[in-house]
Amino acid sequence: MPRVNPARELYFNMDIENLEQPKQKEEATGLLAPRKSPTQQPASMVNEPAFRVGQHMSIIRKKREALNA
Amino acid sequence: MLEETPLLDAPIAGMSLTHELGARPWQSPPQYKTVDEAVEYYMERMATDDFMEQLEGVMEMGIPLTTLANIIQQSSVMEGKHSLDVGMLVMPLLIEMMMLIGDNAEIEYDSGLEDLPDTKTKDTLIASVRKDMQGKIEEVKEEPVEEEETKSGLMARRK
Repeated sequence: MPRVNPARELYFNMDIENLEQPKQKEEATGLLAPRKSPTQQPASMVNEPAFRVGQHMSIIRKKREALNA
Repeated sequence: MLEETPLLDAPIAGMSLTHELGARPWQSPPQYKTVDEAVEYYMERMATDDFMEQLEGVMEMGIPLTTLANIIQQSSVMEGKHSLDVGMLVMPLLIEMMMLIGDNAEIEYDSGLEDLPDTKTKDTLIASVRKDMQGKIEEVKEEPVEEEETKSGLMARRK
């Protein structure tokens, strides 16, 4: 019978141990600094929904680990 | 060897067409369109005492958390809370949250994340059993069964 519950695979695919933390770039803030419109901004992992779910998960996992320690 | 059983609980063809288009909650735009909105909805819902009490009871019954997470997200899709793809994205978070609730309540739960037993009989196992049993069981030589020739003509005698 085919397996219909993908929860296990989805859980292991999250790989939250290796989540890349977003790096904040130091940008020029002067009056003459070039402005960037949202469309010109580089694609970031933060905009990925799966990444944000992973961040939530890592917070909860840290709490769990603190409970079980 | 195990044989695949037929899937008997599949939907009947045309079952989705028994109502007008848009009459079902999942046929109209979902209430929570983004993952963030869905996460917020679940976190609020799972943090209530009622939910936690019910969940602890279900956990003690030994139902895997993966099954529960799938049921929770599927029922939300059916209620029109969020779309199926948002549900898929949120599911790992639901499992993690339920594990936190279980750990907090000190319940021994079944996460459903352990390796599943392989139900398929391996060919190598069959070959090794055959090798072990060789000689122990008398081999039965199958004699060819002579088939009686039956007269099939119109005038043949009836049996």
